[in-house]
Amino acid sequence: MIEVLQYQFMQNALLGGIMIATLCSMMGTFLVPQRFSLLGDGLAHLAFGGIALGLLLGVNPLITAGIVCILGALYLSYNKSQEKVYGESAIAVLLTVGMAIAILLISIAGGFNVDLFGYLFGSILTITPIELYIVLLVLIFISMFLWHNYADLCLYTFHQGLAQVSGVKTAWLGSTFLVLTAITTVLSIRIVGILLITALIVLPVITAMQISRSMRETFIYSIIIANISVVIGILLSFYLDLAPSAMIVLVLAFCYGICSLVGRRFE
Amino acid sequence: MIKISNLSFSYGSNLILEKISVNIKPGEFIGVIGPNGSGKSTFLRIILGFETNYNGKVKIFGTTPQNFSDWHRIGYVPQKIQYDSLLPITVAEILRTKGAGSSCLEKLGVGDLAEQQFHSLSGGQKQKVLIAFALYDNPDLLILDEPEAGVDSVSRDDFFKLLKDINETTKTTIILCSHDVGMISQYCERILCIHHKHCSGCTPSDMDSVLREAYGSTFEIHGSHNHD
Repeated sequence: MIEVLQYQFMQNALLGGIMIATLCSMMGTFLVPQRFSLLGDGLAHLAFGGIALGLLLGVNPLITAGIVCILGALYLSYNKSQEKVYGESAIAVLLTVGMAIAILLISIAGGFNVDLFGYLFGSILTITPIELYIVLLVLIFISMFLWHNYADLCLYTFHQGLAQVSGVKTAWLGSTFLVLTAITTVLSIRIVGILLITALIVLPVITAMQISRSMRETFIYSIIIANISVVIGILLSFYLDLAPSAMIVLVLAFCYGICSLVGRRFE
Repeated sequence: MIKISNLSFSYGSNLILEKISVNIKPGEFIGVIGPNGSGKSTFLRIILGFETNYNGKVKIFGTTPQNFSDWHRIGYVPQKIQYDSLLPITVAEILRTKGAGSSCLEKLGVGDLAEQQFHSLSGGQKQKVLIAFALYDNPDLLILDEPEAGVDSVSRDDFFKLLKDINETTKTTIILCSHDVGMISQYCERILCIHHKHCSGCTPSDMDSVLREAYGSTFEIHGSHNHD
């Protein structure tokens, strides 16, 4: 363990991983019960289109990905309020359109001189100090948002109509939450990549739901499970020389399996 | 308290409500009935501001539902079918979202349910918890959308007695949408029957003809509590 921490890139990876795991699990606690489990997947694929656009225009790809994802989140929020199509269908629209834009732009550019696999599968070991600061700022902001709106979000998740009649500004709350999810998703691309991002949002939450008896416990347990899994995943990847994103997801899946069995035993 | 005039509403090209006019006064206990798909819930959704693309005038406490912001004056109990059975939220956590403590459950005789997960409660217990939640701010108006669905007949009778007691002791106006015509006729003082896009008002004593028009000529109230 001490040997691992001697490397700067491992220190950065562990710090970044812990912060992103905390972000994703906090947001997931409210996304999963709202049947938005695949939201991260949809937004991440849309982000891929944004990344390709950024690379084509010579702009920082995470900025273009962020803008595109926020627009996608606002579309989802609008669709939710208007009930134009099913929620999962709207996510499917984002997912497929994002990939189509990415493929199109890549073919126009004749390929990019960057590691696209890094975006697809994550590259946590190359996370930079500046990126760490950005993640820290977002973590602080989103934590404050959740702290301030926790009660309203619980009621909104339980029943939106009840929340509205209780005076919760549901349209504002829902839209803001989705936009923050979009920002979280873009930042998470560095950790597990576009293809596995849903795991970091969904698996800690459904694992926590197996053993928790309240929303509060689900919230806390999912953060703990996500953090433990990310740290173990990164360490295993270091010692076994395997892809860290895949190891993180497999550790999360292992935790889910264990908690499913333990949870059922205590029912 | 609520003034509705010439209210019409459509889902796309499907006209649901047509030129409905209703006045609801403070302290009334109103039952809203009608066959499946007649627009009962839509009627409540418009009053609550959930549906905004309607024609006509709707005023609640003197303002339109869209501009209404004094939400502590309204308590709402939604339909049972809309709750998530996997959500691990406890009764106490639901109450805390309004700043309410577990003591408000004791008034309804369910004070021991605070630490239970909401989805683990029986139908009757869920409704009592939601009524405790709705009544926490001492609202002037209580709106209930088919709250007795899935509740057994004994609990259902207790439930209607509880609502009647709330109405009489606190003078809270109650609008209750239900399929249980028998209970509605027994406990509500005025009935709004929504059918064929229109709304007919009546009292329990003269409701037979209105109900036969809505539900069919063979319809009978007495001897049955549920004509779903």
